[in-house]
Amino acid sequence: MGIYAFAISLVGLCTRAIALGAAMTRRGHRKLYAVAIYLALSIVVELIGLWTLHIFGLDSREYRYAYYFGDPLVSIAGFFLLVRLLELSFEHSSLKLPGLRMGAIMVFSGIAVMTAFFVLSRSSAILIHLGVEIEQNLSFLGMILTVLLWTATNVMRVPGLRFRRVILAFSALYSSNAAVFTVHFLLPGFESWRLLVPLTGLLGAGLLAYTLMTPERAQPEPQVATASVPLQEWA
Amino acid sequence: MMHSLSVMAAWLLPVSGYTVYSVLILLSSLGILGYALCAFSHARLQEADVQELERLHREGLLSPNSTLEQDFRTISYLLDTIAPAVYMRQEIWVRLYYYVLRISRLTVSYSASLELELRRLVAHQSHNYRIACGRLAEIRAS
Repeated sequence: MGIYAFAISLVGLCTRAIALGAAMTRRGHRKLYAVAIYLALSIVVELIGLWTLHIFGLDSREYRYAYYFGDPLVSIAGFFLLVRLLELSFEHSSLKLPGLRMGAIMVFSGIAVMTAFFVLSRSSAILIHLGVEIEQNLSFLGMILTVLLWTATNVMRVPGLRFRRVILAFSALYSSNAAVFTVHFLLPGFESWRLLVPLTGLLGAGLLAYTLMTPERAQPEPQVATASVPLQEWA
Repeated sequence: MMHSLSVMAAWLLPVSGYTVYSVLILLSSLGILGYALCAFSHARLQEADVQELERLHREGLLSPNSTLEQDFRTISYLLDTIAPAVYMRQEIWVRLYYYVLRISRLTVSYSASLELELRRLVAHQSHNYRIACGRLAEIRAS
């Protein structure tokens, strides 16, 4: 791990911690407790990765497993979080989705089994490939799911700026992840793609932190908006 | 025409099916990423009060013949001057989104939706300016 990836990783960790702090302390986030669980899990995974790096070193098998299985674990948690957000968006509508959770579990199981089948049938496959492939497939699925969720939110006019922005933060996270994985597939010789991976996580965490920290719009007292600022200085 | 088709076919021939799908996925994911980032700003602007901008025009702070871009620059300048004095943190995305909208307006000759979006953005900045003025009045009073 170079100094760049380590720095990005630390900044990402701090950003997630800030987002988690905002989610836990500010009022009006009770419905988004699933986001807090997701953030807590991603922080734990990041800390385990850094701990294994510190104890066992960069070339160790332990660090490799922590790195390649930590990220898919967070992606899986993100997938179920999106399902929860979908449930929340339908909460106040007359349309009920009784089999949503079961359907989500079925979709996830289907993807996991198919991925395992295709990856492990290769002669040179190792277990780490499975983690990478699952993360890649879940990124694509998450991207599609966030688009559906965003469309549903707009069609049903679900209120709440924070709720909408949480969906968009996940949309940005999953679509950037999918783009990076596709770049890796298209350009196998392009080694710098690994540098883009922590940036996608940082983008998602940054948008989430900003969303959870921003207060709701305050209505100012109606008064004449005047301030003695010399306009000539600027003009 | 035939020549163009043959050139295109020669270009596509070594491309496998998987590569075509991957390029499509790459383009769609980049498109969704761009859309998500723009919608992140747009979500805030949906609740912007466009009347706020008109109020500033009526109060004489903004010139009646000024364009939306000039209004934005004037209000941003005023806000830059007042915000530090009233401990107001400015939103980073406002200026970034302003440049995105400006570039979009330069590439498209006229679009009513882009015009409305810019108007909402200026109204949002005007709302921030009014909050800053309110805080300044409170500080002066105390």
